[in-house]
Amino acid sequence: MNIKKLGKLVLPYLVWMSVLVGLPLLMMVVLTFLKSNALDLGTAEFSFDSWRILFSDVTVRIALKNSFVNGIIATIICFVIGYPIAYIVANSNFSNKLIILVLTIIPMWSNSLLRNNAIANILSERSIVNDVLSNIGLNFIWPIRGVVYESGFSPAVVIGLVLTYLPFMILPIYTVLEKIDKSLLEASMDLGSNKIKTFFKVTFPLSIKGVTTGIIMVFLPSFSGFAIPKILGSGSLVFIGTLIDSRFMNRNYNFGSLLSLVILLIIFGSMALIFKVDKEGETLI
Amino acid sequence: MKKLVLLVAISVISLALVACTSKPKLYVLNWGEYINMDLVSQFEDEYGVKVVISLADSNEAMEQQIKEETTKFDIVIPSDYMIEKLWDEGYLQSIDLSKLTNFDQSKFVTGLDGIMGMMFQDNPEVTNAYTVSIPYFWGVFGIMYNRQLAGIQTYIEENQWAAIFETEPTSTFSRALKVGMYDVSRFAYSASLIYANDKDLIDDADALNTFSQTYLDLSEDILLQRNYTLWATDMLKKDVEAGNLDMAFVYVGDFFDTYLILTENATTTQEAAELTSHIGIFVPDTTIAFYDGMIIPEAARNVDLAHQFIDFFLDPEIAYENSGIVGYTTVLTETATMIETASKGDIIRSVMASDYPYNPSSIQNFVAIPLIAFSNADTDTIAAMINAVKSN
Repeated sequence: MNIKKLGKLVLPYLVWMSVLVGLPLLMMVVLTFLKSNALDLGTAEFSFDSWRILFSDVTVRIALKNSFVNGIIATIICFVIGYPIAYIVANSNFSNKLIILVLTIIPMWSNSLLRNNAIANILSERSIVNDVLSNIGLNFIWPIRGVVYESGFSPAVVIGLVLTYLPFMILPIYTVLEKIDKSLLEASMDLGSNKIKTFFKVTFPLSIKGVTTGIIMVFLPSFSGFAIPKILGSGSLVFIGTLIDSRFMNRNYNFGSLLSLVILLIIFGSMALIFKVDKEGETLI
Repeated sequence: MKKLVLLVAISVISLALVACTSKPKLYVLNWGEYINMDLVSQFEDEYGVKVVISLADSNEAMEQQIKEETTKFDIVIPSDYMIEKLWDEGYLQSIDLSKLTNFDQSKFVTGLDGIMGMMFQDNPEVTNAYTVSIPYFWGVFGIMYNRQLAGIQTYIEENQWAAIFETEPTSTFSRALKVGMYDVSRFAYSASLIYANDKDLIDDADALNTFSQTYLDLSEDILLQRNYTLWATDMLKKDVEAGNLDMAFVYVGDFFDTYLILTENATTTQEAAELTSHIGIFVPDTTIAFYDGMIIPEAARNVDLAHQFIDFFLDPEIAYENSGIVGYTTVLTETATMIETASKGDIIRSVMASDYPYNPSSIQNFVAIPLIAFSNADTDTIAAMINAVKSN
């Protein structure tokens, strides 16, 4: 096949990417060094204000911490719940595994804001669950909406994140588990490993690509989102996404861009991690 | 191949058909739950047009959408301070009052007239505030509360804004109060400064419309005086009603909206009273007033149609139907009378209007001050302060 000929086909894609991704990114970098009214560059001044605030503002640090803590806890819970589900489905004898997977995705067909508002209602003091619990004397474990611990951990927000992003953990893990050659497992058994040892020595290492993808696909939106913490965190739990939202809302594009770049750096870091684990990049497909 | 030809033919024909039936479109940017959709359909039928409504949840979001012009809106309904700001920055066009057959300045309620008089005071170019925006609804801010906690009404009436901003003495109630704060930084800032003036922490009745570092620090200190159970906007009224909050700083219209929803199926005044006996509203002696006005952005494409839309909602009968759904205070005297006297047969709303004198009578019992616009940089600084308060 003529590689050079194919190379020309990449051109439109390159133009597309540089105009719609490269240029805006460059714009964001420029904006961080300016003091401007939104995108009005005519009156903009050169300024390091955004960078100064980034390193001096306590709110930014707290927001980053809150995002990290809740994002990581949600990711761990998603893994703990998602891996067994993917494993069971992949190894089951169901004739139509697709249906089981579709069942996990069905909740995603409804609007996520609507679902999270519903969760907020259920987790409130006045809710069906709390009524039942208080009738049997267990009202001290409820309500959990708005509860935020010193570390920034909010159980309600984590519940919302897990329910929203769980399918993103299950699907990639399922895909890799499904692809594993069963004869490898048989070989392991033949050579004297029991089921548990086979799982840890063969199955799990082979599924690590799916796990990495799952972790990144759950962690990134959990980390950078702002809607779920706003709804379930009683409005007072500040995430890094909340700050970006508020800055852009008040037309401070300079600091907003800088915060967005911080998130981008974190995302690129994660991507680098993926490619280190998976050089062919097939887990992302 | 035949199928493909057929498919192409069908799509071409359907495109052509769409083009034939395409009506002029009026793009409206509005708040959520802020218009009677039946009236919109009525307007569509009467004028043979299509009205496309988009929603925004804050004045700042509306500002952004107007300035970005991704959609060229013909009608937007922001509040007073944003109208002033957008006008000063040249994003609005003036309204041709001669095109409005239902317009008559004397038809607006007195309290509103006062607010309109305060608009554009610093701008001699605007001689008539009605040429910039036509009032849609108006109202004041207050404290909505849930009566399940005995004595809460008296407590709020005695303490006014302090009920919101100060932690109550521990022995006052059997448990700590759960208080909601309005999650718009400008409202929290301005209300906290009204409180500061009430408490003689400062001596400046105009503090709510002043931005300074001193006031910013003061506001931060005040907002840190208590922990708020919830920072939200539209959720506050629902949580007060459900008993998840004891009280919250809300638009009075939020209360009326809840009242109308609760009494939707009530047929007698007795029934309405029972259904709403657990909620109440209190307006402090000094409070923030607002009006939302219909404006036509500079970029609007359908200016004539926009005028017709404004005119449509200035018809007292239409305004009556609209206020029955929205719950905020009507701007027209004639409509207010219709509600109060129940001349249209709506006894429930007439009871509401007489039980809660903030609706829709003139401002006589309290001082109501509209907010004036702050610059973007100041608003952004206040927002950063609020975020710092939240994360504290």
